[in-house]
Amino acid sequence: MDSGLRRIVTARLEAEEAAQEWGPVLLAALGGRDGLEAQLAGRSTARRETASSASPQAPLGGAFLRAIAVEGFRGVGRALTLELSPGPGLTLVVGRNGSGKSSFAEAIETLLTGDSLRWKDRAAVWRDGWRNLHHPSAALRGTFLVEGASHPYVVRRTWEPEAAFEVAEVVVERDGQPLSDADALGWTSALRTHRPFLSYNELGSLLDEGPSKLYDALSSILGLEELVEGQAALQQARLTREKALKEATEARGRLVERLQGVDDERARRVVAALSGKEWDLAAVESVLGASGALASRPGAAEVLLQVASLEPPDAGRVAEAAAEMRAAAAAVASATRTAAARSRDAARLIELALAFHAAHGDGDCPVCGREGALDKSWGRKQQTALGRLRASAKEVDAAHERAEAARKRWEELALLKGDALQRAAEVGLDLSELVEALGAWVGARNITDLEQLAAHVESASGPLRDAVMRLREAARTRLQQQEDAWRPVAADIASWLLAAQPALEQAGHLERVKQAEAWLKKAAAGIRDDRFGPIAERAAGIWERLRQQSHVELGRIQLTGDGNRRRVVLDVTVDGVAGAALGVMSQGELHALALSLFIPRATLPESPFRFIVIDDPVQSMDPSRVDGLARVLESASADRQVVVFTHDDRLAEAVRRLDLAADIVEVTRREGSVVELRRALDPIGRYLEDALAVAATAELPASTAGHVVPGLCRLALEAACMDVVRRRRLTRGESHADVTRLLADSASLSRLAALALFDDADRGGDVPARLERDAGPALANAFRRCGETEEIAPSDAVDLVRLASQLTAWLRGLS
Amino acid sequence: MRLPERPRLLIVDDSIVVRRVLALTVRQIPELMAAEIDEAGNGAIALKKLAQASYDLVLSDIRMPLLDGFELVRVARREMGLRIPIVLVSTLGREEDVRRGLEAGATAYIMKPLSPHHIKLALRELIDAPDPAPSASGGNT
Repeated sequence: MDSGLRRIVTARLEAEEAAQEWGPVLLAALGGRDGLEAQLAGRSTARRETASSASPQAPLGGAFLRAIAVEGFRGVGRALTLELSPGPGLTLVVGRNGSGKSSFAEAIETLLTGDSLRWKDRAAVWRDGWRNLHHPSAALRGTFLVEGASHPYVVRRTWEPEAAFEVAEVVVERDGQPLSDADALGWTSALRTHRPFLSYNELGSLLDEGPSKLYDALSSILGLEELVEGQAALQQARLTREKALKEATEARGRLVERLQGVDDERARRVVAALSGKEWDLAAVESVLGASGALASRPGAAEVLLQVASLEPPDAGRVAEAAAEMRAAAAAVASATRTAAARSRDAARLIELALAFHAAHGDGDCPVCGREGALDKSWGRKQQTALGRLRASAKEVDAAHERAEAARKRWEELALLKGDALQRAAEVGLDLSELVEALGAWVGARNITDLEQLAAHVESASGPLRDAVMRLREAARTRLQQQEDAWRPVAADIASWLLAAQPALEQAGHLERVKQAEAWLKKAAAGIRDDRFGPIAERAAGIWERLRQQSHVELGRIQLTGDGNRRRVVLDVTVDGVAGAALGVMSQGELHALALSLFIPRATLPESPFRFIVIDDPVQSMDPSRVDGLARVLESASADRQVVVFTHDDRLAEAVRRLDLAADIVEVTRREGSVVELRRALDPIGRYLEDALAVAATAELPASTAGHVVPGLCRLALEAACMDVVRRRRLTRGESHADVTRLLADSASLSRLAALALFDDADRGGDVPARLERDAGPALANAFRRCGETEEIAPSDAVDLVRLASQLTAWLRGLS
Repeated sequence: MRLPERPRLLIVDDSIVVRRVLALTVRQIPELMAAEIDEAGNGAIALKKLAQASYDLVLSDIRMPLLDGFELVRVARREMGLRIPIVLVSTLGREEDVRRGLEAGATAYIMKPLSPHHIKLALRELIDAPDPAPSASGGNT
């Protein structure tokens, strides 16, 4: 994600109390749909980043372009390297159309992006002509100095012979070692958001295609398309979830309706689980899995299962019980007729008499009246007799006990176990036959005669058994029917569940997504303004310098609206008339405007590129505007490496005429794609050239030459020292800002030379001796004379320029 | 009488088989099909249950050990003040028994306890009868 945009959004989120929940969702959405979904799925540990935290995509410091080597690509045949000064400054690469100059511009873009926008929408024949006809092997190689990295990075893109343009091998190397990660430089997203290339084509198309296209182009420049993408991602995330939930809800309605027509406890449980405000999918799952715990009240299926396994009274046991009843009856009858029965009755009588004697003492017999019949000896005799009688009565007692036990057996025979039967009517089984049979069966309780009871048990058990068997059969049939009916229903429930589970889970994120979406919709305009404001301001400033005699005045530039109404509003005034359309602007003015928008974007502080490459900005520019362009480029080069490819000499001429610092490289082309690079005068050469010109001008007063020539030579030497220091320190990985500060703080020839020679500004005193030793006395002497303020004799002037020139060459040779 | 969706019944008889059969019989009536049925083996246990929970209907035998059906009705009405229907079910079919039962406070007296047909008829009549008082179908107080 664009770090500038992220900073703005994060800062706004931090002011938002309620953003704890959905803030991470929003930030993830700005990274696109995949990021959003990953965040919602909990796969990323997106956190609320503080405004100062860097984007993970920008691990390294700013990069300067050290060299670009091209081989067998477009207009360049055998390998050719364009060396660039890897630091802030302006480099003009000048060459006629067809000289191969644009091949370098394309090469840089292709090297890094694998494509070139200038080919976009061109005919295939154009696109296919990327290989150089005179040179079969094709390779591009860029060397970059990166702040904070001690070794240069090399990016290489090579093609096998005959390979298509898209099929290239890309390698990133550091210190000659290939890095495993192709995106080791972390530039992938930055190349999109901070594209450091601008071609003539883009210049033209930037404003050609209407306000919404321009909006998109600027949005993409500012990372604002991430805002749009974020809104789209959130909307998409919301709609997908709402749709899935809606579908699941509708399908639920149909399912429930269908289940209500299914006479099955499981169907009822599913309906119950899906009838609440919140669906109990776990319950539905457990019904399907059949492993679900049984409800506290057994379900219909369980009742049917239990009824289906009811056991009727066992015929054998019934017969045995009836036989026992009869046998017990017979035993009682026979015992009643035996002596035992008499003994039992006699024992009871004696017991009463003994109790009478115990209560009233000795006396007459109360029955027969015999006098003195009841006394102690009588008592003892009767006690003995009682023991004997009781023993003989046991037989008849046992017969009665046996009869009582036999009587009770009718109960246990019909004890139909389990609660299932009690619920059988509820699940729709017809129990009337069984109830009648049982009613008849329990009639047994009123029968006292065992013979009759045995007959009753025998006659009532048959219908009871039949009733149980029929009920059992009915339950089994019902179970089978339910299983047959259930299977397809279960399949439907399962397929619904499969869709509903993720839908419901995803719907759980809806609230956060909605909140993030609502916030972003409300905040988008403000974020856009925050993001675009500084650029609009700089663009207006650049335009002011480029417009020269244009009648067009540019006020505020604004990105407004969204969706189909998105557009760029350029507050353009022509000849004092406000509200004019872009249509009134000339091609040159439009290009200038496009350039005004490009430079601030490409030089945003968060861009990892410290270089910008502009191809042919002058092509359709009014001559009056070229001076402005030169100044704009020079001012951009104050803290950026600005490389401009241009087909004619107008820009170079303006640079020279306006005395702007710039390196100028000329590209010429000979037969067979042999391209030649020649370094035009850099600042050092320019100072020396100027010094020579002054020294050779006889018309100037001698004192002027005597002052000016050493001064110009000193400037040349200072420039050479700076060159050495900058190259060395940037190569070492120091930041450009630090190096610039160091050079600014060391603003004297002596200190600069000390830096160049000893890497220590304070060792100015050691410089002459060192020069004496290593560069020779003549150059050491020239150095001293350039640093002094005293004027020199005009006759020495040319010689001094010659020596100064040698000294700059010697200095530049330092590593 | 008005019955809740799941009425609570108490069936009192000293034979477990008879209790089960009575329960099944009662369930033949649609309103009582899903009833929650409690059982007691004699009048004493029945009174204890009546004191602990509220029931919508009591069905009780007369001849039981410890505390018989007449006594159960009498205590439930006089001492506990229960107004729920209490139906006596017994073979004691003498006119004197019926009078004694009704005087004690029984709501109905079914003389053919072992005939599902008769029990159904009697309960049907009871359920379809209009409420004598708003609280008649309420539980104990």
